[in-house]
Amino acid sequence: MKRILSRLSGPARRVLTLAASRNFKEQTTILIIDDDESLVKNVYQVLLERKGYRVLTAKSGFLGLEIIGRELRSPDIILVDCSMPDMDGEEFLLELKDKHPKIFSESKVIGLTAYDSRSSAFLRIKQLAFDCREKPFDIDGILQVVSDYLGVSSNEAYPQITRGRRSLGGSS
Amino acid sequence: MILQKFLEENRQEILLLSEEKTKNLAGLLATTDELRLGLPLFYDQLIKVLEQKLSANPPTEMLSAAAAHGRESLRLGYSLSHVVHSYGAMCQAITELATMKNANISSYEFNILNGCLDVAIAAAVSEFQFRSNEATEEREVKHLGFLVHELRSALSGAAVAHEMIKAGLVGTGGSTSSVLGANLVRMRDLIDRSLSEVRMRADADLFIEKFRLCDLFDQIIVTARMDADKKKQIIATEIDKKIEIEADRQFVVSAVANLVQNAIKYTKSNGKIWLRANASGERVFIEIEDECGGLDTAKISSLFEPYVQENADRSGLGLGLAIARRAIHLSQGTITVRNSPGVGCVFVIEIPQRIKPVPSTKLAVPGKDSVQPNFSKKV
Repeated sequence: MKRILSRLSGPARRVLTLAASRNFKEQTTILIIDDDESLVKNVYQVLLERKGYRVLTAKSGFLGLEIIGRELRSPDIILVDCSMPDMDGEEFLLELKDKHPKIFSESKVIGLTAYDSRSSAFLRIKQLAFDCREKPFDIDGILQVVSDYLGVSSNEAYPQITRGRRSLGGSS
Repeated sequence: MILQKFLEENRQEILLLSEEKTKNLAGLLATTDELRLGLPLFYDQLIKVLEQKLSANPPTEMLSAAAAHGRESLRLGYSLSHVVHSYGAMCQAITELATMKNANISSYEFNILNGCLDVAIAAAVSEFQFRSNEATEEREVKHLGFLVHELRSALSGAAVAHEMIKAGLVGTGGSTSSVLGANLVRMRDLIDRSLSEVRMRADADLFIEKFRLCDLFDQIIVTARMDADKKKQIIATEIDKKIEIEADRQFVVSAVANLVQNAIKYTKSNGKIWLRANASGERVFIEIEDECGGLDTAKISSLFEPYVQENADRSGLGLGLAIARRAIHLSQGTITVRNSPGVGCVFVIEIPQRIKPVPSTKLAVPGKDSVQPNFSKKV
């Protein structure tokens, strides 16, 4: 691709560069599980897709597990709301760990909660998941949640995926 | 000591009689070995006191056994009255049997018995109260935490949606705008509900205003639909649009909204919830029908008690029905429930069309004193 691009100039180069970048970014898949479907689809998905991520959404833990089972590769990040009816974040994490241990270890599963980061609910999820974060209050906060775990800045154009479990040391 | 000998000789009979009397008081409440052994333990310590002729400073074992008795009673759902009466039952059993058997017990010995009973009752009651206050405090903190969590969650959604609109990332009349509106309504409802809870607890003054019941239903349904949509449930209404009532609007909203939320929570996905209202004479009847699958008949009587949750779904705190009952009681009405096993249930609110003013009642001046915040402007 680099060789082709070096031979091109003008609008053709710009179009191909954009296409290449989009194609690369589509590899980064984020699954969001939250019962507030409207918020997820109209806020989280809109913002993250604008950044070029592939965003999948599920309005319950059960549907989230279904999507995970259908995907060919593990999502890079799974954002799961900790307070949901039927199956809450903690139950989802236990199910994922039990039924899809490979995905559980490959994906970075991040709990999202409106509870305070010092609360016991928050700390329980943090122990079980890759990490736990307080629900963001602004656009940067949402992008930051994702970029922190991809090892890129929230403004970076080409997110580089870093796999494996590591601690980011604290929450937002 | 005649009493000491009498207690030793009739141990089994007295304890059996005490247990029978206590059972009559407790009714269907559960019991445990710990609770059953509480009184015999006291009984043996009483014999020890009489043996040693201790009129003051009862042994520490007696105090700790009584405290354990109080603690266990609370855990099993007994009332304070049960705790006191269980010791009273033993006193009655001793007295009855002593009279029957003509035991010549001196007043000095009876004084010791009464002294021991007083000490044991005081220790059991103190422990019961202490643990009960502790549990209430814990539930209050949990309730506050739940409220803050819900508010914070709604604020997070609203703040990000607002920023997106402000930054021009999305249009002003689109779906992100709806997210903002929905979260603002959610926050308003949470605040309204908390305000009515505070009012119901702290000052039960009524603010009477005249309003159309269908407007109140509309207000409740806006939020309820958002939750019902998540479970693909249908909310159907059947209301006589002419019905106007004079009542404390906030209390009526609080009761109906809590019952509707309850119906949504316990109705299965794709189910239906009915809201009906009609008037007959001076009374208004509001019905909230759900498809919860029916209630456990054994639990119906405790359904309106705070922190009782009928279903396995424990999200929330089980306060909704208790709040609804209090709000309707203050509105001079009643709430009843009709159960259809295997199908669902219907909660029926009956309130007067015009509430009778009581001395502390305040009449709301429209637009000035109304406790209802004005959210008529669309976001």
